[in-house]
Amino acid sequence: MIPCEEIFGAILLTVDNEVVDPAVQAVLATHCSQCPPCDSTLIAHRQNVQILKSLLGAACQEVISDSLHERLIEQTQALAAQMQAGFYTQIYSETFSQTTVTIDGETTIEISHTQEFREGF
Amino acid sequence: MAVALLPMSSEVDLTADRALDRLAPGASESPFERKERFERDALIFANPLYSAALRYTRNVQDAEDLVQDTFAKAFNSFHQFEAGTNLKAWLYRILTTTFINTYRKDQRRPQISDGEVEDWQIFKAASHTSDQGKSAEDVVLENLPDGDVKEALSSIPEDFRMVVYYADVEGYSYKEIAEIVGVPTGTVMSRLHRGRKLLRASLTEYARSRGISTPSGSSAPSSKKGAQK
Repeated sequence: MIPCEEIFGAILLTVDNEVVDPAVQAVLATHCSQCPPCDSTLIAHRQNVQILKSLLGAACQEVISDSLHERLIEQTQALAAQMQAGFYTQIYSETFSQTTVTIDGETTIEISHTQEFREGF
Repeated sequence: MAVALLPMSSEVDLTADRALDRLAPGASESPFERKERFERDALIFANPLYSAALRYTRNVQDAEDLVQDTFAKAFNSFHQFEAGTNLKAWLYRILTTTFINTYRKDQRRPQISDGEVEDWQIFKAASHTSDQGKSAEDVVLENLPDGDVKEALSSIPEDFRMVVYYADVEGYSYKEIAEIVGVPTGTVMSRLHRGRKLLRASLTEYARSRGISTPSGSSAPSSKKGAQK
């Protein structure tokens, strides 16, 4: 039979559902069925972990304050707005020019339109 | 020949009207869509993140700031989050790095040995002493008030405290915890077992200080507990 000291690591792991190898599970089960002290150790360790989980699970249930909740919502909106400003190519300025040319009583009007784009300012 | 030039130049801020018209290349979702998705999928984890933040900082003000900083970072890198993976664990990872970078930056922490060897030996020594079934001490500990449990958890060193929190409150696997705290799984395992042992010892101290006797194997559960009720 495998020495108890070598079984101990598997006991710790199995209680945390970390023994995935079926061969290791089988060795552990065989050992514990033939070794009452190791079997007791497994039961006691499992019990201890269950107690800690139930104590911690009940105690660590804090809820955020209303003010933090509000801050989180506002922050998300502000970051989205910032991102929008950075993400989009923006029209920084637009220039319209109108040129009127009158030759011998005939008038021609030209209108030009320019746009300046800037990104992420 | 008369030429009249009539400039109508103006510098008008048109961004407010035009901004929504164009998506920059590479942006798969608009900031508005990201905001919606973030509020729906990420902000719902504010309570558990706050609980973890309290374990890290051990005070309300810093914990609130830590949660807020974490969500700010998470929003700005939300595009890096891979859909279908664990969003809560991803947020915990950001919480951890934010805590380390921001709140722990200037603190000189004593380097804590994980004590694998020592721990293993203690375990071996203790491994054959336990009894079947629930001990009287277990019963006493199970009745400790939440405040004592939180303080007992606060009292153990951070490296151990957080691994215990992620394993025993959140139920994460060693591998998931390793990713959150950024250490190998072997280290998670040793910290977890050492942390649980430290926590158990601390809880027992709290029980003693409340005058709840923790029987050393002989007597029945304390009658004082009953008298308090």
